[in-house]
Amino acid sequence: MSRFLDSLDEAVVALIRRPLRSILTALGVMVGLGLYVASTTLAATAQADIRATFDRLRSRQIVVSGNLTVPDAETLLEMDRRVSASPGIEAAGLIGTVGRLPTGPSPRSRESVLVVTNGALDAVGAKLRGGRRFTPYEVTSGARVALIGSVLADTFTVGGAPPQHIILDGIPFRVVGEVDKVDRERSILLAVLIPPGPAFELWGGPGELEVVALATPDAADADVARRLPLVVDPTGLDSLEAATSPDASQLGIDIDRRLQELTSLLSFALLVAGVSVVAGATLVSALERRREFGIRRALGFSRFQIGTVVLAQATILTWAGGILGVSLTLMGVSIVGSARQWTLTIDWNAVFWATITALVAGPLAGLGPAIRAASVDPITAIRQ
Amino acid sequence: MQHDLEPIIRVENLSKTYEGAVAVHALKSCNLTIPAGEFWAIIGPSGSGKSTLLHLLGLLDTPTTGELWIRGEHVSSLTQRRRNLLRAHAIGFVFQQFHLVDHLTAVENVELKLAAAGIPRSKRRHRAHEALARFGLADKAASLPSQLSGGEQQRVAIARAVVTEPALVLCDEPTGNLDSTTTKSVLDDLKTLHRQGQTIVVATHDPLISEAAETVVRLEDGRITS
Repeated sequence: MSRFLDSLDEAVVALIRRPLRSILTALGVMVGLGLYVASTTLAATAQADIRATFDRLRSRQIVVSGNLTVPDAETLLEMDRRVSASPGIEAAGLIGTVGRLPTGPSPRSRESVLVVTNGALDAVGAKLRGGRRFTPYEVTSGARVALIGSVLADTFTVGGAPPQHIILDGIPFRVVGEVDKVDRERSILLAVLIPPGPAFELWGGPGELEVVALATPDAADADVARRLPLVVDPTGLDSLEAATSPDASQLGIDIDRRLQELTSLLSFALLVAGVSVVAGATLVSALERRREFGIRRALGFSRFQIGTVVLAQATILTWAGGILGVSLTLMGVSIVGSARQWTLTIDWNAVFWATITALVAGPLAGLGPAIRAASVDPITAIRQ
Repeated sequence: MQHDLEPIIRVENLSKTYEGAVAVHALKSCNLTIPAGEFWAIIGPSGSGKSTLLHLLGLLDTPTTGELWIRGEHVSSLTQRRRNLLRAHAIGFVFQQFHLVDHLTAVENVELKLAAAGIPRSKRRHRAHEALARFGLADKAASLPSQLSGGEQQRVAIARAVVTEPALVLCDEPTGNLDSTTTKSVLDDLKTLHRQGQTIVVATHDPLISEAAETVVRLEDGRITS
């Protein structure tokens, strides 16, 4: 025990008497392990963010299409109510194409005119820039009202207010709102949207009709997709097809895994760099102190005693640098995360391994230099 | 001077050859018996083998052939641990270049020898201060070697060599780097140690030291000539 305390004491004295070298060496470990913790924390935060984003993007949209026809607006609205009330459905509605009618200032421009229900607008995540949606009266009555997609609206009025009216097949429609954004079915932004009533009254109903539904987050998309055609039209099952969009969550998992691999590689490189700094600095220190070790050998110190001094020195530097590096980095990322309002995810697993690495790397980094110092020949060393 | 009956050093046919492209026979079949408590000087020209002999007697090196006894212990049959202990307890070494550890203070340098000898930590500082005081360096205890003169550094080195009260003090050109005034002072220190009963063996070119020695051994080309 006394010999061990001697080695510790000797190591501490040597470190204190060479403060610049000690600080720089410890700094190497601090930076190495600090960057390791910082990179794993930032990667974990990024991964959590990416996961959440992909969860949000997970395709919950189901489209039922095929030979779907309805005789009148009432039947369409009844179908709309049925699918909206179906289990596992967050929002659903119908979208149909009336046709492509000449609109706008250019005679060559032809934009879609779509029949939509309010449920369909919910299902595609439509957000209005101004105005309102269709009222229940407008949906059923045949009122000449329309919504306009923001991209189409911009072609009418550059930098000004959206048009008050739009002429479809020579019939004026009052524009009651402007659809600014959609999560899905971006073609809506290029279209004029009208309720089912006037579509049937003026053009005999939509040509192509499909059901657009958004499953609830906890529902199994495949199950809902299997069930939905039955809800839409129990008699026309053979002619209907339900499709889910390609799922982005697998892409999310792939990106997550690749990011994890990349982070692991980067982190490992930083750890190796940190440990190498200590090993290198300890070796240089041991080489510089050859004469001193020779003197110690001449005074009667054993090889073991000299080796343990060098080992203790490397261990103290690595432990101090490692613990400081890990704790200061955690503080730093917490401050930065809080300042930037990030939801910080600290990878405690990485913090644990960084600490373990510092604990193990110290003696490991000092082992080579310690053996080298212990093997110094006293005569050769004191003749230097 | 009363000398112990048992010799502190006995050397039989001691030789040292440094192998290399050309083998160098630094010491050739030396025979010596140094009684305890004596003051010996080993003289001879540079390269005659004085330092090699001292290194062998101080257990810093091992002979190529021959036998060595220190205080009756047959050195060749000792374990490395026992050799270290013998070097720490029974032998004190003083070098021409002082060889103080430059980042340690005077008192810490002296403490090194006590640490090597396994003296408990609680006793080291006090004994180191006492040793420095013996050589008039009480006020220099906290000084680093770079803050001391050559003479002071050598006296710290002597204090370090004798702090464990070794039976044998080996000095390799101890005044080689000192001016004449400091040389006299160091010589006085060695004489004091001798009077206190320690065996002193000095390798030197300095006639002042060889004149003070009780026995003078001359080495030429690795052989004892007188």
